[in-house]
Amino acid sequence: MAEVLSNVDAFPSRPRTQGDSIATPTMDYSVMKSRLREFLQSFALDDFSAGSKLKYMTQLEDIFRRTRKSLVIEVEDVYKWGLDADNFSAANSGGATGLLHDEILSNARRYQELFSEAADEIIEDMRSAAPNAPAVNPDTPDVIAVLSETRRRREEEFRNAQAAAENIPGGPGNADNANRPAGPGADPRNLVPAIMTRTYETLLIPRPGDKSVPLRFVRSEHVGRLVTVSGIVTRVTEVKPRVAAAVYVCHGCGYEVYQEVSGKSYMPIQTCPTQNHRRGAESQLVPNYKACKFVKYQELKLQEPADQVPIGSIPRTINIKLNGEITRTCTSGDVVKISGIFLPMPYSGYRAMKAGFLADTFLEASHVTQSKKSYADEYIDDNTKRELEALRSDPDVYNRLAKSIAPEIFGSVEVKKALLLLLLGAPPKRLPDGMRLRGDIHICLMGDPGVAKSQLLKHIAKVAPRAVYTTGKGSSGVGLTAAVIRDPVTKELMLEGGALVLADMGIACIDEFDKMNEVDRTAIHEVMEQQTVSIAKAGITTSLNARASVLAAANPAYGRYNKRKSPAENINLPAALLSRFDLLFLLLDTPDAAQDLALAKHVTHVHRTGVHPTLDFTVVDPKVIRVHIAAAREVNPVIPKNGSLTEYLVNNYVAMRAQEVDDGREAKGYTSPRVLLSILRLAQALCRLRLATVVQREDVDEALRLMVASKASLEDAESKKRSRTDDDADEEALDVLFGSNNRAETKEDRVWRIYTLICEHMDKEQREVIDIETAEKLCDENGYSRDELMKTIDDYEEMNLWTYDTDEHRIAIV
Amino acid sequence: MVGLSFEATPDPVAASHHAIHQAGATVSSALSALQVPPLSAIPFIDSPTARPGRWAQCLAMVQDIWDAELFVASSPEGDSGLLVENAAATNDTRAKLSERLPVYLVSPPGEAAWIREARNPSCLYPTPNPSANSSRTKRTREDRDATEDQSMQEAPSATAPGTPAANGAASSSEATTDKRPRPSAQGDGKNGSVGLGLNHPVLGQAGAFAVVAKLYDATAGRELKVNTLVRVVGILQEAMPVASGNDAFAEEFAARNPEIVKRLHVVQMRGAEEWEINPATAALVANGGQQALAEARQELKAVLPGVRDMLIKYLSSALCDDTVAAEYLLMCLLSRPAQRTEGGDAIGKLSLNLVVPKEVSDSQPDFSSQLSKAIENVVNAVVPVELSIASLNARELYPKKDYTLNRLKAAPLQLAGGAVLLADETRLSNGHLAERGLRNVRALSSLAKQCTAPLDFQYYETEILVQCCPVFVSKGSKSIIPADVVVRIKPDTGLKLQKWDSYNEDLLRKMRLAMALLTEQGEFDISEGASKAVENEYVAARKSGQAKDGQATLQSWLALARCCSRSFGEAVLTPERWSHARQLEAKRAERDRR
Repeated sequence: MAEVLSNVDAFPSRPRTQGDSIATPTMDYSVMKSRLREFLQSFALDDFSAGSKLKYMTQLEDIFRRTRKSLVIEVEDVYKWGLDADNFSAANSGGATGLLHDEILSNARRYQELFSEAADEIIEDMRSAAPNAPAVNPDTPDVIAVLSETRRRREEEFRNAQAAAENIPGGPGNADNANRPAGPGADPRNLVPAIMTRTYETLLIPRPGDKSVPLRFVRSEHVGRLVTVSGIVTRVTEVKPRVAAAVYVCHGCGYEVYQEVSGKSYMPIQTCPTQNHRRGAESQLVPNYKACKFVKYQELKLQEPADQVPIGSIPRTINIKLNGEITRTCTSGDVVKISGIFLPMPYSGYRAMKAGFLADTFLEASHVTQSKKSYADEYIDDNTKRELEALRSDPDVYNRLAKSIAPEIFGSVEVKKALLLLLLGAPPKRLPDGMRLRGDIHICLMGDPGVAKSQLLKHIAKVAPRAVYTTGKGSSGVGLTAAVIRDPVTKELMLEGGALVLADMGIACIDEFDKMNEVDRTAIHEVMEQQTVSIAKAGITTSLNARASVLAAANPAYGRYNKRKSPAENINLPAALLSRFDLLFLLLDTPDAAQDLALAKHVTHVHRTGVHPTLDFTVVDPKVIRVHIAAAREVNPVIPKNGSLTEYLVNNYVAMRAQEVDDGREAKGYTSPRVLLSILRLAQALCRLRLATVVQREDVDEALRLMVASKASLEDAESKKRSRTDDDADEEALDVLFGSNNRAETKEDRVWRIYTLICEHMDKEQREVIDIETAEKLCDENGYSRDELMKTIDDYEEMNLWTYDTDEHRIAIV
Repeated sequence: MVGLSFEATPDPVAASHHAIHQAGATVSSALSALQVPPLSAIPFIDSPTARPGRWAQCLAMVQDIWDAELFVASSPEGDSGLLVENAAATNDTRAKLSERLPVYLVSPPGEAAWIREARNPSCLYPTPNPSANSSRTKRTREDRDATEDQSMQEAPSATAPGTPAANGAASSSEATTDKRPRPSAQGDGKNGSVGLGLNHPVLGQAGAFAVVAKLYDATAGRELKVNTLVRVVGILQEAMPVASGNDAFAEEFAARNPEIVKRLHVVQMRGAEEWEINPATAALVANGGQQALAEARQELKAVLPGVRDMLIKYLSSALCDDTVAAEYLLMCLLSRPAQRTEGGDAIGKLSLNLVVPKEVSDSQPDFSSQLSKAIENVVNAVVPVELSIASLNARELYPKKDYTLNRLKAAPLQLAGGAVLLADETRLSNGHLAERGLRNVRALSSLAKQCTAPLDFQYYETEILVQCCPVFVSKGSKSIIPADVVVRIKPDTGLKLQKWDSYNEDLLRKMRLAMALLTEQGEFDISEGASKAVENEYVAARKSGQAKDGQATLQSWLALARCCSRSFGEAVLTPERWSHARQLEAKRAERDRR
C-alpha cells in the first residue's frame, strides 16, 4: 500500500477537474524531456557587455562543482525561449495542447521531475566529458559524493559484468535494463535512485506577470498548478530532517538497497530483494541511517492578509511545505509571497480507511519573498483607472480630494486639506554630509470636544494603507516605541516594535495626546524629528526606523479652550514638541447660528437616509484616493534653484517671526527655523498632488495660508470677543498710546486676576466653597469692583469651572 | 417520522450520486436536481426524528468558517463523496475533484425558552446526544458503525420517546457517567483554549446545539459572514471518528474535525431574518407571505395604545414599578442597528444603562436575573453577562482566534438576531483590571457605541457588526461603559402593578407578537415639521450653551426620537413625537439632579 500511495505522490498527474474534457492526446514525456534538455543547454541570457551567457549551463556547472545547491528555473525564460523562432516548433510540439510554459505551469510537479532528470543527464555528460576532474572538491569533502561515487562505480562494474554475461550491450544509466526480471543486479531497487545522487533541488519560479491568487479563490482547478499566494505567516514548525531515500544494508550479501520515499511515511523493507542469497541464508535488511538522504523540511501556516478578507468574514489559511534551501526563510508574523505547487495530500493509514480520498491540501513552496505593505500593492481595475484619469486632468484636484476625505464629517475643510497633505508627505532628503531631512508631515489637532477629532483620526487610520491608531491614555512609552520581550520558542530576548515602529512608512494616529504621561511623550520627540527609535535596554542597543507621520489629537489644558488664557497656556505642550509639529490646528466650538443650522440639517439627513446628503461635488471613492496618492508619492518635486521663490519664502518667514514678537502673550504658535522646513514640506506635498516636479509660488502661498488658517478658529473667537466689548476699545487705544510694551491690564486680565485670587484663597483655606462676602472682601482689598466680581462669577460659571448657588450665596468649585 | 410528500426525493444521497455521474454534470447541477421537501416536513437537527442520510434543517448562527476541503465529486468507478462524510478512495486520474467549505454553526445564542419549546416541544434533552438515535428500533448501516458500542450501553436506559422527562433525566445521567467524552452544554473548552467542546458563545445554554455544515457553493462560502443567522436545509450525517496522527498540526486536525457534533451537508442555505425566529411571525409569513406582516402591523396600530400600555406595565413591574424606566427599556428592546453610515456609526440603535439605587439592589440581590427572565418572556433571545473584576480578567468577551487549534473561540459578544445583551454590573467592585480586562471594556464600549465587536486575529483586528440591544445594569452610579442613555430607576411605591411572572400565556403571546411587529425595520423618515422643530431646538440649545457636545448631542436626540416613534409603531417622526421624546428626556434628566 505504501508503494501505491508513494507512486501517487511522486507523480500526481493531475486528476481532471470538472470542466476538463476527457479526451486529450497523451503526453510523451521522453520527448518533453529532450525538449527541456534543449532549453537548458541553449537558453542564453543576453548580456551585451560580456557577450551572451548560457544561463542554465552556468548554473549546472556550478552544481557540478558543488558550489550551488539549487537549480532555479524561471518559467518566464521558457516563455522567452519559446518565442524565439528556432525554438518555436520545439516548444509547441510533443503532443502538448498548449505552449510549453503553460504546460509547465499547469502540471508543475511532473515538469519539476523532468527538469531534474534532464539536468541529471547534462551533469552526467559533464562528468563523462571530464573524467579526470576531481568529482569531489578536495576542500569540502562531501560524504554523499564519496559514497555515491563508489556506489556508482560498483554499479557500473556490476551492470557491465552482468550485461556481458547476458550478452546485451549495457551502459550507464540504462533504465530499460533494470526492468528485466533476470540477473542479480537487475532489481529496480538496486539502482541508485536519482534522488541519492542529486545534489541540488529544482525550483520553478512563476512568471512575474502572474498575479497572486487570493487564498479564498484557490480551488480544485489549481491542483497541480504553480500558483502564487500572499499572506501572513501564523505558525512555523521546527525544521526537521525528512527521509528522501532510505538505505538498507543486507546482512547476508552486503548489498545496499535503496528505497525512495516521497510521502510522509513509508514502510521499511525487511528482506533483501536481490537474488544473491543461497537458500536459507539470512537476508535481513538493516537500515543504515548514515547513508540515508535527508532533506530539510518545515511546515508553515499562511493566513490571508487583512485586505483580502471581506468585512465580517474569517481569514482563510493554507498549509505550506518548505524543503531544502528555502526553509528558515520566514517566521511568524512575516508578510510573504510564496509560489509553489498546489497539491492534495491524501490521508494515509487509519485516516485513509475511514475518510477515503478526502484530502487536505498544501502548497509545496518553491519560492519565498518577503514583502512589506506599501501603497504600491493596490489592485487597480478599470473603473478605478477611469476615475484616476479624470482626477489627473482635473484642475481642482486639491479641493475635491480634500472634501472627499471623511465626507460624513461636516465642515472643517481646512483640516481635511491638511490631512490630505499628511497622506501625501514630501520626499525625504539626504544631504551630502549625511544629515537626513524628514519628509513626513506631522499635524496636531487641538480643540474642544465635539469637533469630531477622533472621528477624523479613525478615518485616516482606515484610509492610509499603513496606519496605527492608539490613544494616549491607553499606551505607555514602551508600547509606543519598542518593547523587549522574550521569544517563547528560542528563549532569547528580542525587540518587538511598538505602535510607532509598526507605523513605519505610514501614519501613527495618536488620540488624547495631552493625557499621555510626560515620560511617554518624550519618546515621541525623537520619532518625530530623527525618525528613529533608539533602544538601550536589557543589553540590546540599537535604533529602529520609525519613519511615521504623526497625527495627534488633543484637548486644551482646561478641557475647553479658555479664551481668558493665552494660547500658549491653553495648548500646554512644551515648545520642543510644539515646534516639531508642522501644523497645529486650534479648533474651537463656538455657537454660530448659521453653522449649527447647517449641521442640524446634515445630521437629520444622515439619520433619515443613512448616507450623507448629496454634496455639491462628486465624492471620490477612497480606493481612487489611495491609488492617486500612491502615484503621487512617486513624484519628487524640487524647489527651483534660482532665487525668487526662496527669497519670497525667507521674507515671509521673517515677517512671521516679527509678528510673533508683536503678539507677545497672544502668540499662537512657536515659530522656529523648523517652520521654514515645514513650509517647504507642505509646498512639496502640494506640488506632488498636481504631479508636478517643480514647486511653484502658489504652493508656497497655499502652505502659508494653511499655517495661518490653522489658527483661524481662534481668530474668529477673538474677533467676536472684541466686538462685544466696544467700550473698552477706547481704553485700549489709550494704553497703546502711552506705552506699547507695558500694556495695562485689559478687562480680561482683570477678570482672570479675580478668579486667581479666589482660587488661591480657597486653596489656602483648603475648602471648595467660598461665601460671597469673603469674595467681595478680597476684591475690595485688591481694588476690583463688585461688577467685575459678578462678571467673573458669571463667566466662569458658563465655563463650568464653578457654580454660584443663589440661595446660599456661595461659590462652589465644580 | 413525518411522512414526506411525493415530490421530495426519498433517498437524496443516492439520487445525488446518480446525478453527478451523468454526462456534463457539476456539483451545483446535481444538488439542484434534488427535490427539497417543504420546510414544515423537515425535522430540526436536534429533534429525535432527524436521521443520518435524511433531510434535516436548522436555524443557526455562523460562528466560524474553516478552510475548504477537497473531495471526489465523481470517479469512473461510480464513487462519489457528495453529501457524505466518507468519500471512497480512488486513485483514478480521471476522477473529478471538487471542494466544499466546512462552516461551524451554533444555535442562536441566548435563545429564549419559549422559542425553543415552540420549535421542539418533545425534546427536553440538554444536548444533542447520539443515544437519542439509538432509541429507534431500526437503524441504518452507517449508524451502526459509528454508534455500535455506544448503543450497547444506551439501549437499556432509552425508553420510548413518549416519556420525554424520564428520557431526559436518564440520558443526562448517562451522559455524565459515560466513558467517551460526551457532548454537554458545559463541555466548553477550558480557559484560553477552544477545547473540543461545543464552542458555544454562551456557556451552559440549555438546548444549545452545534453542527458543522459543509457548503458546496463556493461563491456563497466566500461571502459568508460571521455572526449571521442562516437557515440551512440539507442532509444530516454523523461525524466520522478520526484518530489523530502525529503530524505537525495534529491538534488542529482534531479541533477541526470534532466528533461530538454532527455534520450537515448543505443543499440550501440562506440568510434568516428576525421574524423567522419568532414562531408567531414565522407562521404569519408561512401562511400569507410578507403581506401578512404588513397587514398585521396595520392591525396592531388599531389596538396599539392598549398593547403598549400592557407592555409598559409588564416591564415596569420588573423595574420596581418605574414607568419612565420601562419606557426607555421598551425603546431599547425595539431598537436595532438598521443602517450604518460610512463613518461607522449605527443608526437606529439605542444602548441603555439602568442605574439601580442602592436600596433596591440591597433588598433584591437578584434584580438582574429577574429582569433577564422578565425580558426573556417577550423577546427572542437574552444573553446575560456578569461583569466583575474577576470575570473581566478571566476570559475574552469578544471572539479571538486560537492559532494552535485554528479555530475562532466563541465569546458572549457573538450575538445575532436582535439578542439583548444584559450586562450586570451590580457585583462590580474595586479592583485592578488586567490587560485582558481593559480590552474587554473597550470591546463593550464599542458595542454600546456602534454595535460592533472586535475580532482578534492576532496580527490584525477587525470588527464585526452585531445585531443586538445592549442593556447595562449598574448599581448606584453610572456604568463604566458609556451608553447612549442613562436612566436612574426611581421606584414608585404608589403604583401597584401586577407582577410580571403572573401574566398568563395568552397575554404573553400578544406581547411577543407586538414586540416582533414593532421592532425597528424598514424605512424611517423625518417629516418637514419635525425637521424644523429639530433644527430650531438645536440652534437654540447651542446658543444657550446647553448642547455642549455639538454634533454628538444632536445625534443622540435624534436616535432617541427615532426609537420613541418606533415604540408607537410609527415610521415617520412627527413634531408631536419629537416633543414627546424631549419631554421624556426632561423627566429623565431631572432625576439626575439630586
